[in-house]
Order: sequence, then structure tokens, then C-alpha cells
Amino acid sequence: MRAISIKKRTVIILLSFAAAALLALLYFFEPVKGGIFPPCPFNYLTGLYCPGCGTLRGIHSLLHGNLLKAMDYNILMVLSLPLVFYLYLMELGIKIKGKPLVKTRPFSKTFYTITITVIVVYWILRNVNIFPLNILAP
Amino acid sequence: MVCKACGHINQDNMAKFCSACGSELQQDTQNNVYQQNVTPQPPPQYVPNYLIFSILTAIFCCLPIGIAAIIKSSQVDKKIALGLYDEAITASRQAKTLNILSAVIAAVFTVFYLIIIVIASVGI
Repeated sequence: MRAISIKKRTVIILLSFAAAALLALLYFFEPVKGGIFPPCPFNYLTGLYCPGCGTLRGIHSLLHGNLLKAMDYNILMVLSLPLVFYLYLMELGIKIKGKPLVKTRPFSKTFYTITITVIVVYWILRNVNIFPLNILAP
Repeated sequence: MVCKACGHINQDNMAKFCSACGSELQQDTQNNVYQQNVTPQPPPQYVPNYLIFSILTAIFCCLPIGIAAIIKSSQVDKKIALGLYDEAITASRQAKTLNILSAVIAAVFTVFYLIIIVIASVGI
């Protein structure tokens, strides 16, 4: 087993705490009202939605147990959470224990192609203001 | 390549003499190709692909930079699969740089926004 760098371990622990703090903030403050949460820069400048628009409101809804409302705000965010959590476990294992807790890397080229395609297609579709595509908008 | 005298696997494929026993190595091209394709060396170190940050960047922060970062992350895995570890490390660094860049952009925007909020609430 490789020696684990203390710096890498510190970085992942600090990032974990930052994420937890952000989740706590999102639980207590409602992003619908604006307030301390910034709007999406892309949406602010162009009036169009980006793939991440609705994420803050969506996570607020999720933390309060409202899955359907979260999916209404940003369904891609909800669907990507398992993948993000999986990758987080991988990184955590490597940086704390020196080996992945879950193992699949290297990912195939197909996986990357699908990931990029889904994000770009979702980005385009949620800006089309025709039923049923407009339900993708936040 | 493999030394036919002692069986030691020499890392340097262009070496003329075995690093273990010193006997002359026969440059067998077919054997060389076989060695490179069938028995890839294990990675010298763990090469991170920063995919989690690339995906977070692409969806939640800065789409164009995020897409570039996912492509860099995919190159890390591709180069590792081919056994090209130096190139994998380069792609890994580029993915890291792109993700740090987008994190800085997001942080600057957030701080800028908070300053405006504070100024507006104070009522200057």
C-alpha cells in the first residue's frame, strides 16, 4: 500500500466539511427568496438556463424530503447525485485508506461520451419552451 | 524486455545488456511488442482523474470548462489503459487546473454577489 500524503487527506477532509456546511446552510435558508444565495451567472447574463439552474432550490427541497419538487427544479441534479456520491466514496477511500472503497476505474470511453452528451442535451432541451420539454426548466 | 539468460524483466526496452546479470540482450522485436501489449506495467503511482470535480463543474458551475475537464479526465483513464503514465499525469494536471479555475470563478462571483448584497442592505 502506498504512503498516503497528509496534504491530500487534509484537502478531502476540508472539502467534505465545506460540503456539509453548504448543505446545512441550504437546509436553513430558502434559495427561492434569493438572499445569501447568488443567482446563476449564466442565467443572470443571458436569461437562458444552464444545466445546473435550480440546484440550490432542488437541494433545499431534497433536504426537506421533497423529492418530486427537487426533480421539478433540476432532474439532472437529482439523477447525478448517486454518481457524485459514488465518485466521492472512491476519492475518500484513496485519500484516507490509500485504496478505493469502490472500484471501477478506469471508466470506459462510452461512459465519458454518455456523460458529456447527457449534460449538453439536457442543457439545450431545458431551454426549449414547448410542452413537454419546458417541465425540465427550473 | 526479458533476459534469456536469467529471466529478469528489464524495464528499458532499448537496453543492450541485462541490468540483473549483465548478459547481452537479444533485441527481438516480436518479443518486444508482446511485452508491451500483453504485460502492461503497473501504474508507478495513483493518477487521479478528478472526475467528481469535473462533473460538478460541468453541471453546477461553468459548463464549457466542465466539459473540457471531463474530456481531460477521460484522457487520464485512456492513457492509463494504454500504459502511457507520463501522458496520464499530464492530463490529470490539466483536469485539476481546469477544475481549480472554475472553482475560483465561482468563488469570485459569489464573493462579488455577497458584497453587492451587503451594500444594498446597508443602503449606500
